[in-house]
Amino acid sequence: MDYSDTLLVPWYLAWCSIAILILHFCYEFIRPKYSTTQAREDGQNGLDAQRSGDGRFQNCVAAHGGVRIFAFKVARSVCCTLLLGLSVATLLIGRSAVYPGDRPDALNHYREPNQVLMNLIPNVSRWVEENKRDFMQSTVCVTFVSVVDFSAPVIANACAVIRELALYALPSRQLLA
Amino acid sequence: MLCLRANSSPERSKSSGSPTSSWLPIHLNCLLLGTFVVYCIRDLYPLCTYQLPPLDAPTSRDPILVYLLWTTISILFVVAIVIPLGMPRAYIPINPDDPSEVPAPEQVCSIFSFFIWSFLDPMVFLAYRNSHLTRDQLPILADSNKAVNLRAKIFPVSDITYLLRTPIFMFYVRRTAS
Repeated sequence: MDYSDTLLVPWYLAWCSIAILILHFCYEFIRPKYSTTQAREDGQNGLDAQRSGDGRFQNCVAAHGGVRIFAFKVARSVCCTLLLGLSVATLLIGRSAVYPGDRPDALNHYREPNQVLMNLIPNVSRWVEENKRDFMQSTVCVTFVSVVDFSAPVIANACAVIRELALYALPSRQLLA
Repeated sequence: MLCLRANSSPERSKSSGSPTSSWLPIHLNCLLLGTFVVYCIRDLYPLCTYQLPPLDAPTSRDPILVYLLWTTISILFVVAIVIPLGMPRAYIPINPDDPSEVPAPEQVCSIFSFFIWSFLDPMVFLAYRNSHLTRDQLPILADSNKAVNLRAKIFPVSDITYLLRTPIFMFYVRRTAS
């Protein structure tokens, strides 16, 4: 198994990103509590965001910086979810496909396994050796899972907005009926 | 946990540091851009050559997989290039106690618009249609360029006692004295 394949780069990037975020979160957790002035600023900003709209719809949108920014964020979240679906579909459909990067003896590659890895985690490493392409495609899926996780708050807020709009629309429909 | 923290308001002032939530879009954009670059190197660059095939397009010419590949690359282009460059920026006041009522276009325009200065297009077209622009029709001054904020930013640095306290200056004094 060649771990220097370029298709693994997003996977490495995702792990680096997660590691940096965990370190940053730990730093935020252990650093001294922020000052009263800063707390007042944050509280004021929160109040401004609450005052900027009448309902939860406006609050959700205002918390993201406005309608245009929120629309861009929702579009990005939808695209990230689509990417996850496309990568999973490629993984499932392309299991029997042969790619240009595959060596002619790719199917027999498991006969020369990496003994160190095999001893450590025998089942997983054997599967990786036997299904190199599936493994690399699954790393792309994992990358997009982390991407969708990053944009999950926007998806949650978009769902809240849709719910609010549905609640607004429902009474009028009932009145019409 | 990260999702919950990312719900905080983006109107946080610059002086209050950089919380984890403000790092999430940067991580997301870097991750997506890295993935797009990888797909460009693997699948788009070979199309510019005569003999190299795209590495992720199957040799069996399976149409569904080919469609999936180019759809993935198209969406990656949108989400990694178009959206980060075209998304307007949230207004972050320099001084949270004195924010602008109407933020300057320079501060809220998209990065692409900032690069090509297209946020000034409305004023240019207005000047093209009129013989004279009044003072009210000019774009407002960004609060990052206001004298009050510039003074608050520059004066502590230009103060001689600040320079004396910097380690680089002390290092230079010690080297010169020795």
